[in-house]
Amino acid sequence: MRATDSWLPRHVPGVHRLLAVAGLSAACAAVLTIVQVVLFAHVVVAGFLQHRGVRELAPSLLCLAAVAVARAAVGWARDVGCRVMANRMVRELRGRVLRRLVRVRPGRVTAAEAVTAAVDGGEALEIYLARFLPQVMTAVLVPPAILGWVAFHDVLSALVMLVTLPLIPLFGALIGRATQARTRARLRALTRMSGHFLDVVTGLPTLRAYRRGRAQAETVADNTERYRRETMGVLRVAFLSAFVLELAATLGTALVAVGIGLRLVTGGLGLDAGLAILVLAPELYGPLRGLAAEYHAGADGMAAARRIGDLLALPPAVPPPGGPPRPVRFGVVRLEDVTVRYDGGPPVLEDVSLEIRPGERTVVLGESGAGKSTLLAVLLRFVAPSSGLITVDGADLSAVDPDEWRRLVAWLPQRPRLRPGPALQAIGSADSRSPVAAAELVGAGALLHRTVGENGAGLSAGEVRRLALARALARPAPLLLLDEPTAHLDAAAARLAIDALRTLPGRTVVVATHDARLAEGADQVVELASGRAQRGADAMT
Amino acid sequence: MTKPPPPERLRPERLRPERAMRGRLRPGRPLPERRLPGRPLAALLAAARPSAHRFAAAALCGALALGAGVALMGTSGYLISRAALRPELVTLAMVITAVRALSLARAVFRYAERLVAHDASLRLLAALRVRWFRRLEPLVPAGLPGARSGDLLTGFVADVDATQHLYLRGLVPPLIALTVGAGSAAALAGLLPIAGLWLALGLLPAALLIPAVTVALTRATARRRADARGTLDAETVELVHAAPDLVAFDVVDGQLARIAAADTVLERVARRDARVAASGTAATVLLTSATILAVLVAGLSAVQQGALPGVLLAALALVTMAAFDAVRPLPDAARDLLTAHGAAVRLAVLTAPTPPAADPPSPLPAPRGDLLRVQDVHVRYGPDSPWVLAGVDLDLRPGRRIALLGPSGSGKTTLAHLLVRFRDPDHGRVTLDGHDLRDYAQDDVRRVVVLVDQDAHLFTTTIRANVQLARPDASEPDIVAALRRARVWDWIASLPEGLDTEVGEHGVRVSGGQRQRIALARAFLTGARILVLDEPTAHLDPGTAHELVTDILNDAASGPGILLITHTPPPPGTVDEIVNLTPDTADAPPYRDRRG
Repeated sequence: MRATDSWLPRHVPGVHRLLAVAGLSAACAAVLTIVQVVLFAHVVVAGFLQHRGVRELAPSLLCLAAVAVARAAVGWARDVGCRVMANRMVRELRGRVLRRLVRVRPGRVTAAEAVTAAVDGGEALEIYLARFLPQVMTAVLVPPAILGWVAFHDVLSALVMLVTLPLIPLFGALIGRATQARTRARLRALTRMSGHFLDVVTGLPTLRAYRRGRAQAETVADNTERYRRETMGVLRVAFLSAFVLELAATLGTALVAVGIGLRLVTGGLGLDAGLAILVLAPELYGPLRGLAAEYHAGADGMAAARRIGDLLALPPAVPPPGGPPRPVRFGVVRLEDVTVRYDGGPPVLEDVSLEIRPGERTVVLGESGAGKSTLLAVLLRFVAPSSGLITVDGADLSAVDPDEWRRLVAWLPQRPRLRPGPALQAIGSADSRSPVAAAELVGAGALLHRTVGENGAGLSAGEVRRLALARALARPAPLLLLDEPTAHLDAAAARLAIDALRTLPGRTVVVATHDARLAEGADQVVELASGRAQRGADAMT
Repeated sequence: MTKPPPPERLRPERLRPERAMRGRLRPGRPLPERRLPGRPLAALLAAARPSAHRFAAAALCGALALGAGVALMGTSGYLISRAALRPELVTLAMVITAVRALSLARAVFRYAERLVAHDASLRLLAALRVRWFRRLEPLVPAGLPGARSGDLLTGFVADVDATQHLYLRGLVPPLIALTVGAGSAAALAGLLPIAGLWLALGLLPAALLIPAVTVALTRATARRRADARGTLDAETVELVHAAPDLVAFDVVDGQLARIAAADTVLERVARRDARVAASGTAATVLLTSATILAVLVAGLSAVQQGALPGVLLAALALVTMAAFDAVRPLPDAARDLLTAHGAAVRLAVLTAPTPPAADPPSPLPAPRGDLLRVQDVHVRYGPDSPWVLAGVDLDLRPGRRIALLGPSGSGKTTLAHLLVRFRDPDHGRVTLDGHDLRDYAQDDVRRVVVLVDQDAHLFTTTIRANVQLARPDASEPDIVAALRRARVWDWIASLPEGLDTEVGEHGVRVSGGQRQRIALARAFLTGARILVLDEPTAHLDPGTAHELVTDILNDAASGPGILLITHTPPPPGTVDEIVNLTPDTADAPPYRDRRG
């Protein structure tokens, strides 16, 4: 909890306000509860001992009604207010996480991780903020208030309460610690077993293909039965702490009642105070029991906060330029001894030196895994070189704002992702030159009336590639970075693409490919193998 | 772009996030309203009949626990009222003992209730899983709607597990509330009839009306919330997958705006739901106070008229107060009931269709698998839907290699399903050794024609068990031979645990290429004469994909017949024939390009 307590205020602005609202309403609730109970005791005692009737007690009864309404209103305001605030905070946090995700190195965070943290985690955090934290405030504020009032009227009852109340968290913690090791070992086995049904069901197509479908029903039954036995073993112990909690609360109430009874007999206490204390006893233990009931909301929320915190702590793929951003002008791009390592691993690109001159076509050849795509990633500034220098028109590229630089770059990724929707929209953006002309240039004109589905569904891999190539060409950027422009294309389409790339006036082109045909007529051919430039030859003709 | 880690290496044992996501199963999304097959809730209740006595025992324990709590408050009130009259201490002894016993009873019965209820619920889970699994099994994969069967199956598992809550959280609390509520009202009525009536009148709306209204109001927004959640999920996934493209083309803000829009919908729904839930709680608080007031007023009058001994007044009010503990969990119970009902409805709808293929009454003897022939096959998914396959012909013999080309959505997978008889064609026929597939037992067809899926599923176990699945009696040399043929044996042999290496959950600890090769070895192990490979390279990078396809096809000349379904043209000269399934939007009809 401690980690989250310091993390939350730092990363979730507004959490203080939420705590203040929750605290205020808890304080109001405490006061109202005491007032209500005192009024209640007064009415009962007046009716019982002084034989007062409804008419004489009407003012007290009306007050009682008014206090009930106030209590309901405070509770309502707290529930709604905390929920709305929590929702707003999580929304804001989610936006920040997602904005950060886009800036980290591509592939560093998987989509599943992102959904788990930002969507599921956000939801868990929202419940934590809206329900768990207010419950904590109630547990912190209400029992001491009640205890104070009771101590003022009957010290002995207060003492009983003071002794039994800490028993709840104390015994809970003791039992938790004693059983932790055993429970954890069993939980691991449980996690495994609980995954079995999912494994079998999602593997059902495979099981059916191998004629093993029907036979699995028995396996499912056996496994679930084992799962039950194991789970019950865990639960028998886990419910013990709930048992202690319950016992402390009811036993506390009983002890208080009996104590009051004895003191009433000996005349040391008035009945109205005694009755009020009796009614207050369950209200004393209630908040702690409520907290225990929200235990999972608390644990899930903390885990979610940790996940979100991890994502927010990820460094951006390229450190932002230190000084004021310098305007960038396109010119000769020079790589000097550029080396790239991911997370301190072996170099993916090693001591590569290269000069890309404006208007020329550079072809980078190499097998898969040779570092071609990483070279393009460096040029796109998706990755910062671990060592070495990149200059553009003589200026250090690392001093340039990455977004500014990318305005000068158009890119065909190895696995293009087109925006789902009409193909024409997928390849054109606000600042594109005629996307239609670009599409026709690479033979994708006929594809423009098609619709792109999720992850390119409805289009073949070759069609996606041609559209993505058109998207790159349509972008009015001087530097074109093309990754495998002929992959998945049949012979005719590949020919068309190769020819289109040979005549691009005013464009500087870098092609990464294992297709040697693209090297025909290139101004410069670089061969990469295991991250090293093997040969930087001039135009092959 | 980032390179994935080198493929020829076992991934370190760490949790991949996919796993984390799977761990948090999300139930399926609400279905459009439509006529249901039977009454799912009634069927679910019937399914619980064998465990009925356990749930009854749980409800009894719960009622005793809660009842002890109510009695504890009443007895305590009576105790201190009596004490205030300063009687002899001895006369209080009985009451004091009762108070202590009740406090113990409450905790003990509560513990018992929890254990019994969870045990009953888990016992039922086994029955429910088997029951739904048996219904689902013949429908997979061709009888399921839509293409995203992976999501459907995950949703199925979540829904099956959600139905068990129907009993534990949806039925037991109302039973307890009924028993305790009625008992408390009866006890009050015994002391003062009008007080009992007031308590009953107060409890009824708290038990029925408030939960019903709360649930009805939340239900109205449930679909909007589920849709917005779905959009949020999908657009977040899109954001991450498309991040490089979005950044490179400077359109990140557009994507973030789409996510924010879904978030706004969620916020509106959340606000409404918060107001509804808070109003329900507030209404219960008001109702409780009103009932206590009514009972107090009735009690005060009765005491004045001498109809009630004053010493019972406190007990009367305290029992009323405590009785409302019974109805407090009911709005949650109603919500859980509704959730379980929704899950049951989805399961009923999902498993309602008749299986797309069934065994004939008297099947022909098992075929040898010399010729698999597709003749003028047509398939569509509904009487008014467009044809997914329209007039496809194909001949596949052992030793022959055919590539089936076409973009996604062009019916390639449907054709694969026809060949292993996961479904039947609507028109035309598929024959094996001259007889329609429909005349054989399904398992006999799948003995000679084996399908390898595009998402080859590896089970959470060892490599050995995953391969042996195809032929449980296979010997170790057979398994090694199959793995060798799939060109993955060298890698496995280099692993410290060899064949007994765990592949991790859903095979996450092996690379995509290895996974496909292990799946391929599984198919080889069957010794089937015809293999249908559905996009084995769909999730591989171009280099790995190229190697795998070349390996598969080069090996085939003397081996089984291979139908390679792909959307990437195979390397020239590796196949005997290419069949092209063009989508119906293109100008050309389905054509064939013979190169054999």
